[in-house]
Amino acid sequence: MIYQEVLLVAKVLCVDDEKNVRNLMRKVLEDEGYEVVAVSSGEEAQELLNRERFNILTLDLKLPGISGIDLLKKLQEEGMEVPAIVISAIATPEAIVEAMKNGAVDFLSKPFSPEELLEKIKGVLEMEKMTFSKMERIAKSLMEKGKYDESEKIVRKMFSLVPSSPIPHYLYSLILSSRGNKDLALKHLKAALTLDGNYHPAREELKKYEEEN
Amino acid sequence: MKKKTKILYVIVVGCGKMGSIIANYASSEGHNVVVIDKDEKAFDMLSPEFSGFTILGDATEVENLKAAKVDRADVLFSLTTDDNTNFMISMVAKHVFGVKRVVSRVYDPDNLPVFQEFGIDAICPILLMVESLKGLLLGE
Repeated sequence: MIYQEVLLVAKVLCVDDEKNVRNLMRKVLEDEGYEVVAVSSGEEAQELLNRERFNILTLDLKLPGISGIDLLKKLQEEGMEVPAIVISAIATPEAIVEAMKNGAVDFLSKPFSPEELLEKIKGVLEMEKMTFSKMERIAKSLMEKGKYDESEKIVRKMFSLVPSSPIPHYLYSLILSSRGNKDLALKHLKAALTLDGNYHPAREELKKYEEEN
Repeated sequence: MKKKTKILYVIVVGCGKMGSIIANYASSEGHNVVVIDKDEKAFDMLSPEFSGFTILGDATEVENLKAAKVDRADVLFSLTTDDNTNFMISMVAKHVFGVKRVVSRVYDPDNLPVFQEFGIDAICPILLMVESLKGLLLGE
């Protein structure tokens, strides 16, 4: 799956203690083709984030139990990299700064219109896409310089960002191949092609393997 | 197929029987709805499918109207149970925040001219009832 498609079918986790707001998020985002899971507390959100991967998190600040800010802090401590948009009625500059300081990528004040919500969601997903392409470029340039260990670190992040993309598999196969681990490299090449049969670089690389053997 | 209407930003003040019914309807029609009431329990009247916002607070306080982003509203319905409260909220919405369409419930028919004088659309339930009864007497 290419990243563009991931953007369209992104999975969104919404955390808000108000049922009417959860209804609204579901209605607006599902109409646009997003997959939405809506929960009412930070605890539930944390549990879900430990089990499943989401492309984006929308988070209310005032929640029963663990607050939105505390959840952001916990996610940061645990190294979870889901981008979070804070959505709150408390839209003072202080609140916005605090949310951003704790890792939120954007802020939306309540009440919001469907257009405003979609704009924020799309903006964050675009940003993620840019990050992903940028990572690909950096990983490649590190490889060209022979810095395979550093490149591997970035490729691992790319895996976690978009597990369904063939690109990290392909890049990882190049790293493995440079280390002489041809078997595993071949497996990753095949994995890349299973994810996207038309992914050209992986096909070319596979051809080389076949010619060598 | 449903007729496509423009999506409106609707503020409903007072979430009683009347307020909740109109808020539920507006929400089900796809409008952006914000309901303000000073009693949290009042929001229980909203349907489980209601997909708008609720603001807990007194709408005669400007801060609460600002929190509802009243300056963006296409229409505001002031439906509290008190004429004076409705008048004050309507006046602020119309003449301070420039809301295009402000509609208020008015209990006492004697109060109607005051609302009308200030450009507020006023609906008096008593007069509506009287008109219906008159019609009945005239055999309509």
